[in-house]
Amino acid sequence: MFEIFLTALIVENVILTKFLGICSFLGTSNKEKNALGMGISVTVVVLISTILTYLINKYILIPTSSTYLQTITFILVIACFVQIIELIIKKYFKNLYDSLGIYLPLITTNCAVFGIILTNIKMDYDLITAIVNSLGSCLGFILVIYIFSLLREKIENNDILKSFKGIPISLITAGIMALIFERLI
Amino acid sequence: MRKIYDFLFKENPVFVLVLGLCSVLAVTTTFEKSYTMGIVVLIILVLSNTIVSLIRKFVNTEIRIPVYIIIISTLVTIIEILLNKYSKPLYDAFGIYLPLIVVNCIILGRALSFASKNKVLPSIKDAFKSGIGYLVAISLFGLFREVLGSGKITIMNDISILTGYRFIIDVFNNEVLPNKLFLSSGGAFILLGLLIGVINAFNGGDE
Amino acid sequence: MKFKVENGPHVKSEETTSKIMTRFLISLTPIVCFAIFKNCLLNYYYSSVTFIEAIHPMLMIISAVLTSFISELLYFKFILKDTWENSFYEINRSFTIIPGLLLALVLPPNTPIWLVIFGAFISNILGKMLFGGFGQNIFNPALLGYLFISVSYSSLMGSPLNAYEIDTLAGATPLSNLSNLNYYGTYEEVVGSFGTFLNFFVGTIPGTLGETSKMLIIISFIYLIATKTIKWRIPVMYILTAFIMTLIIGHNIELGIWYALFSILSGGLLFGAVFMATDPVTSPITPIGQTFYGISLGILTIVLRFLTPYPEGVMTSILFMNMLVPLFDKIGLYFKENIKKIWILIILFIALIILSVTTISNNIKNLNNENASNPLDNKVKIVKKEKKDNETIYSVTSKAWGIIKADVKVVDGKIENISITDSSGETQWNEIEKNDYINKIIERQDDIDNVDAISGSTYTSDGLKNIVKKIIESELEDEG
Repeated sequence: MFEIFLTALIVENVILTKFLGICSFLGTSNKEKNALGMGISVTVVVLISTILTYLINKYILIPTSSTYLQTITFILVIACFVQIIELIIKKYFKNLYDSLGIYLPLITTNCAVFGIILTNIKMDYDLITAIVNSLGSCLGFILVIYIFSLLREKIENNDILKSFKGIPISLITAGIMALIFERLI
Repeated sequence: MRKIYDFLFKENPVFVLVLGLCSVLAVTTTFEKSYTMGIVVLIILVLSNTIVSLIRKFVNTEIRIPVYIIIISTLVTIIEILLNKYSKPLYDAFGIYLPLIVVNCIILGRALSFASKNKVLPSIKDAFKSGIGYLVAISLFGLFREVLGSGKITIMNDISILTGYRFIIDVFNNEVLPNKLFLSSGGAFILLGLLIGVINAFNGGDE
Repeated sequence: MKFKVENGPHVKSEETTSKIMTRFLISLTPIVCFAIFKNCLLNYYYSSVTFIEAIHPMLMIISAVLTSFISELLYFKFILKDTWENSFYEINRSFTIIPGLLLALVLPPNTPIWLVIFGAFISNILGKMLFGGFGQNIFNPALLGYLFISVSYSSLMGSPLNAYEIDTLAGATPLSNLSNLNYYGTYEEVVGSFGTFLNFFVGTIPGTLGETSKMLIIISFIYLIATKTIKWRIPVMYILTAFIMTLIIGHNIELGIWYALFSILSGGLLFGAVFMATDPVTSPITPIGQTFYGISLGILTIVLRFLTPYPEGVMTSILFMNMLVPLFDKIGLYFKENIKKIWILIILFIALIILSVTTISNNIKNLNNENASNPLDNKVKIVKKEKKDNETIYSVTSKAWGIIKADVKVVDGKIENISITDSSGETQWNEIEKNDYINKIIERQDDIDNVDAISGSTYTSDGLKNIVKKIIESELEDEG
C-alpha cells in the first residue's frame, strides 16, 4: 500500500511522468499562491471524484455491462461535481471562493483529474487502493507545481532569450525536474 | 513556401498557442502513435465543430459547456470502441490518453470560441486548420523523439492488423547510437521546450 | 509580508567575484594534479596501457575545459550577437571553464572524449546560458551535464577503475562493493579489499577523477574556508549529518566507527560537499537556509545510498536540493525574523533523521538476517504492478552491474516475457544477447537457481536472474 503511494508520488508522478495537467501546470505556476490554490482545489475534486466514480462504476456500469459508457459518465460526474462545489463555495464560503473559485471551472477540463480517475479504473483498484493512489498522485501534483512555481518566480527576471522566455524555458526546467525525479527510486 | 510555413506554424495550436500538450508529450514515443493520434484528434475536431455549429442556435449559454462535453465524449467513446475492435495494439498503446482527448483543450476550445458562434462551413474550415496544425505538430515531434531516441521510424506496426503492412525504418543502422534521453519523460519536456523556443525565434522572436 | 530574493551570486563587487572564482580554481589545482598523477602517470608506469590510453584522463579535462570555453564564446557571439571583444570579456568575467572542469572531475577515468564534450556543452549552454547566463541558473551546471550523460549513455561512461586498478583490485568501487554486500560486512570486506584507510585518505582507490583524494579535498576545504571563499555551513552540515547518521546506523547494526568513517571517505561525498553543493549561484543565500540545505543534503544522500539500488547519491541529492533552494531561502528569511520558533524546524529535522536512520537500520538487518525475509528486497524493486484478469505486468528495477529496468509479463502465474526498458548501465550486455540469456531464464524460471551466470557478465546475469526470482516470489505471495 505504501509502495503504491510512493509510486504515485514519485515514479509515476502525475505531471512529470504522466504529463497530466500540463495546461493548468503552465498556467498557474507563475505565482506561488496560484500554484498552491490550484493544487488544493485539484486534490479536493480528485479525492471525492475517486469515490464517486468508483461507486458508479461498481454498482451501475459494471452490472449493466455498460463499461463503454465510462468516459462519458465520469467526465459528466466530474463536471457536475465541480459545478456543485462552485455553487456551494460561492454561497457559504465567500472568502474561499474569492481566492480559490477561479480555478474550479479550469479543473473540469484538467487532464490531471480525469487522468487519475481513469488510471484507477484501468488498474482495477479497489476503493482503498484507489484512494491511496489518488492521494499520492495529488500530493505529487502539489509538490511539483509548488516547487515549479518557486523556480519560475526565481527565473522571472533572468536575461533569457526572448524566444525562450516563458513557456520554453519552463518546459525545459520541468524536463530537468522530471529527470531528477526519475533518479530518486 | 512561406505561406505554407505560416499556415502550419504561425498559429499552430501546439507550438504557438501551447494547447493539448498532454497527448503530444505522452504518446509520441513512436512516429506511428503520433500521427494516428493526430488523425484521431483531427476527425473528432471536425465532427465536434460540425455538430456544435449545427445546434448552436438551440443551446442555452449556461448549459453550453456540459452539452459540448457530452458531444465530444460521445465521439471519443465511439472512436474508443472502434479502435478497441479493429486495432487492439494501438488501443493499448494509447492507454488513458485516448479517453483524455475529451479534455483536450483544443477541441473544447475551438467549439466554444468558434463553432458555437459561426455557421457550419466556416466551422469545418476552422477545425481543419487547427486539426492539421495539431497533426503536423504531433507527427513532427514524434518523428524527432523516435529518431533521436531509438534510431527508428515506425510507420506501421500496431495498426498492421488493419492494413496488413509492417513498416519500420532503421535510420542509422547502428552507426549512430540512439540517445535514450528523448524517450524518457524529462527528455520529452526538454525537446518540446527547445522546439517551441526555436519556432518562436523563427516566428519573429528575433529583433 | 512577501520576501523577494534576488539572483545570486551576491557579492560586493565584480572584483570580489573574480577573486572567489580564482581561489576556487586554485583550490582545485592539487586535485587535478593528483588525478593526472594517479590515472595517467601511475597507470602508465604500472600497467600495460599505451601512451595514448594513459593520457586519456588528461585529454578528458582539456576537452571539457575547451568545450566550455568555445561553446560559450560561440553562444555570446552568434546567439546573443555580441562583438568578439565583448564575448571574450564576458567569458573572462564568468569563469566559463569551471563547469567543464568540475564535470571532468566527476566522471570516471575512461569516459570517451566525445561524451565529455557532449556533457560540457550541455553544462554550459543548457545549464547556464539558456537560463540567462552567469549567476542566473537554477541547477549546478556541471551536475546537469553529468545528469544528461548518465541518462543518455550511462553504459558508455566506462569503468570507474583505470587499467592498473583492474589488474590489482577485485570488483568495483568501494560504494558498489558495500552495496553488493548488502551494506553489512567486516572491516576486511568493506574497507580491506581496497587497502587501509590511508589509501582512502591519500586517494589510491578507484573512483572518478576528482573524488578520490580525500586528503587534498580536506586541505582545499580548509583553504577555502580560511579565505572565506565558499559558504562553509553547507559542507560542514552536509558531512556532519552524513557522519552522524552513518554512526548511528553503524551502532544499530553493531559495526564500529569505521563504518561511518568509511561512508564519508568513499565516493563523491567530500568532493560534492565542498565543490558542488557550495556553488554560489545554486545554493541558498541566508545562513539558516544554508544550514538546513546542508542537513537536507546529508539526509537525502544517505537515504539514497542505503534505500535505493543506486550506490552513490551525491549528484542526485545536490540536483534535487538545487530545486528547493528558493524554499530554503524562504525558510532562512522567516526564521531570521522569528528566531525563537526555530526549535520547531530543528525538531522536525531531528525527527526526519531518526525516521530515516531507523528505516535504514531495519532494512539492513532484514537483508542480512539469514533466517528471514528477503535479500532480494534490496536487489530488485517492484516499481509498478498492473493486474488485469489473469495477466499481470510488473515494472522492476534490478541492481546488476548498474541498474536494469524491465517490464515483465506474467500470465497465469508464469513469466511469459521480459522486456528490457533500460540496460544502459550494463557494459557486457552484448554477452547477454549473444547467449539468448533472457529466453533461457524464462524457460528455466522454475529452476532459476541452477541457471549459470554468463562468465564475464556475472553481475548482469545475476541481476536478470534476481528479477525472475523476485517475480515468482511475488506471485506466490499473491496466491498464498
